[in-house]
Amino acid sequence: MVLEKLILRQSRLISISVTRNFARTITSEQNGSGTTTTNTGPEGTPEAGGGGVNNNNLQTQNLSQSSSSTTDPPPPNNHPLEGQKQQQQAFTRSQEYENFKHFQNTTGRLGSIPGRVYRPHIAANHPPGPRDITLELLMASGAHLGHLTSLWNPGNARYIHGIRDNIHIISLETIAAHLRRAARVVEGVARAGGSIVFVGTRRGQERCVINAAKMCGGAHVFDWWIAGTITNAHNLLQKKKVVERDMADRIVSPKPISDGRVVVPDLVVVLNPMENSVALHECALAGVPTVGIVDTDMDPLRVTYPIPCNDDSLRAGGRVGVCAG
Amino acid sequence: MSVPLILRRQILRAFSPLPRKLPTFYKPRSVHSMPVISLNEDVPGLFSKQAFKTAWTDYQNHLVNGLNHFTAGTEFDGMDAMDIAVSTARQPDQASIFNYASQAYNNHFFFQGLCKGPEKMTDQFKAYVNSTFVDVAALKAELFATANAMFGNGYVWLVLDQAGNLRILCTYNAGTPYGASHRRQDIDMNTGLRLGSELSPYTSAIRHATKGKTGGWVFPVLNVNVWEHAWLEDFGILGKKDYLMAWWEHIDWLVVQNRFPNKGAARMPMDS
Repeated sequence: MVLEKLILRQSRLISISVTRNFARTITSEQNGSGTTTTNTGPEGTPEAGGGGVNNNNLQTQNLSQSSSSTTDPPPPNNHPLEGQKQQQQAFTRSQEYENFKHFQNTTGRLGSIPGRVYRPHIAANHPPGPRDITLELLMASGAHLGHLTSLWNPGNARYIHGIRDNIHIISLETIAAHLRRAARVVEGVARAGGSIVFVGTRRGQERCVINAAKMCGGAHVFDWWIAGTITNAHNLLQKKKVVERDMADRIVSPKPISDGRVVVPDLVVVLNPMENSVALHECALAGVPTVGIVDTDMDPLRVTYPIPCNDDSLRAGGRVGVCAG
Repeated sequence: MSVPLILRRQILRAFSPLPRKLPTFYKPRSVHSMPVISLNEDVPGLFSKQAFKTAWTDYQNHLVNGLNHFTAGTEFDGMDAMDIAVSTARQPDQASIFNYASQAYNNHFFFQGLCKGPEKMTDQFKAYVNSTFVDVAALKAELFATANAMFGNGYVWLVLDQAGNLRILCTYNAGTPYGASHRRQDIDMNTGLRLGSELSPYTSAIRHATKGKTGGWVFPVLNVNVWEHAWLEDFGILGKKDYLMAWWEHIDWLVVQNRFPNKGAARMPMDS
C-alpha cells in the first residue's frame, strides 16, 4: 500500500496512462485504506485517498445510476470503515465557505462587467486608513481651505500656501507632514500604555471620534467637555462608579481604594479646539499634551502638536481622526 | 476657373471640419459592459466568423444592453449578472431582468469554456469523472443524449454538488443552475420530467448534511449552449448532433479544471 502511494505521488509529476480498471482498483484500495479527509493546499494538490470517492459511496448501490449506459459494478468498497465514512461530507463547513467565496470572485463574475457605483456606506464604514491618505484625498476632503484672510492668525503664516478667493489656502504637504507627526505621537503614547482621549464636539464628529477611540483603546468625548474633567475629577466622580484598571485596561478591582488619585489622560486629541478652549486650558494646567486641528484663524500655540487643517470640514476631520486613531 | 478647382471648393464647403472629439477614458457608472473572452472572431470548426458574430458578439451585446436598460438606476446597480439573476429569481414581475441577467451569464460561461484547438483533458478532471460516471466516454454519451433529447432552447450543465458528485443538469431557455430552484427551469413542460442525472435518493438526513451553509449551492464546471441560434448558421437547422460533436473537440479543459473548487477532499488524486 505504501508502495502504491509512492507510485501515485510519482505519478502526479509524470503522467502515466493507466487503464481504467487499474485506476479503479487503486482508488478503491485507497478508500479501503481508510484515510480521512484532509485539507488540500491552494495549489490543489490532492491527498491520496480523496474523500470525494468516499462520499460517492453515500449511495453505493445508486452510484451506477448516475451513468445511464454502464453495466459496470460500483467500486468494490467492502471495507468495514466505509460505513463510518458514508456520512462524511466532501467539504467541511469552512472549506465550503472558502470554495463559495472563491467561486463568487471568479466564476460568479461572469456575464458582464458591471459599472462602478457609488456606495455611500462604504465611505462611512470603511474610510481610507492612514496609509491611503494622499494629498489628493486631503484636497478632495477640503482640508486645505482656510478662513478669510482678514480673520487670520499670523502665527499660522508658516502653514499657509497662498490666498485664493479671499481665503487662505493651507499647504497640503504641511498638512500631511503634521498628520504624520501626530500619528507617531499617538502611536508612541499608545505603545507606552498611555490613555488617549478624543474630543470632537461638533455635530457629525461623533462617529469619527468613537472609531478613533476604539482603534487605540482610548476614550471619546462628543457631547461637550465637562469643565473640570481633569482638574476637578475628584468632585465630578463622587456619585459615579469608579473601577480600577491595570495597564492593559483590565478591571483589577471594582471597588478601589479611594486615595484621591484620578486618571489623567496622557494625550488629548481635539478635532475642534476653537470651541473647546476649556479643554485646552485644563490640559495645559494639568500638563497633558494635546493634538489639535488648527485652522488659519486659531492660535497654533494653544495645542502642543498642531495639525494645520480645515476645522469646518467634517470629512477633513474624519481624515485626521482616522490618522490619529 | 478650372473645373476641378470649382469642384474642390464646393466639396470643401460641403463638409465642415468635424469637431475633434476628445477621447473619454471614463465609463458612465452603473452601466454594464461587454465581457471579455479569449476568442477573437471565430472558433474554427465550431463557429465560423458569421456564426461567432451572431452567437457571441451580437447576442451578448444585446443581452448586456438589455440588462442595462432594465437595471440602470435601480437597486441592481453595480451588481454582477449572476447576483442580479439570483435576486430576481423569485419575483415574477422581474422576470425580464432575470432572463437577461441569467442568459448573459450562461452565454458567457459557455464561450469562456471554448478554445480553438482540441485540448487534452486534464487528469484531475478524468479522475473526477471516473468517480461518478464510470469513464469519460460514458459522460460524453450521457451529455450528448441529454442535449439531443432536449426539445427547445437551453443549456446542459455539468455541475459539482456539495456532496462532491458530478451531475448533469439541463436548464431550458434562460434557466440558471443557481438560486431559486424553480428558475432552474429544468423541467420539460411537455412531460414534466427532468432530463439529466437523477439525484440519488438522499435521505433527508444526508440531504440536510450535504446542504451546508451555502445551502446546496452547485458549482457548474461545464456547459453547452443548445440554443438554436448557436448551430443554425454553420450546421443548419438539423445540425444539432454535429454541433455537439464539434463542441466536444473545442472544450478548453484547463478552464473547466479551474472552475472546480480548490479546497476540500473532493479533490481527486491524479491517478490516471
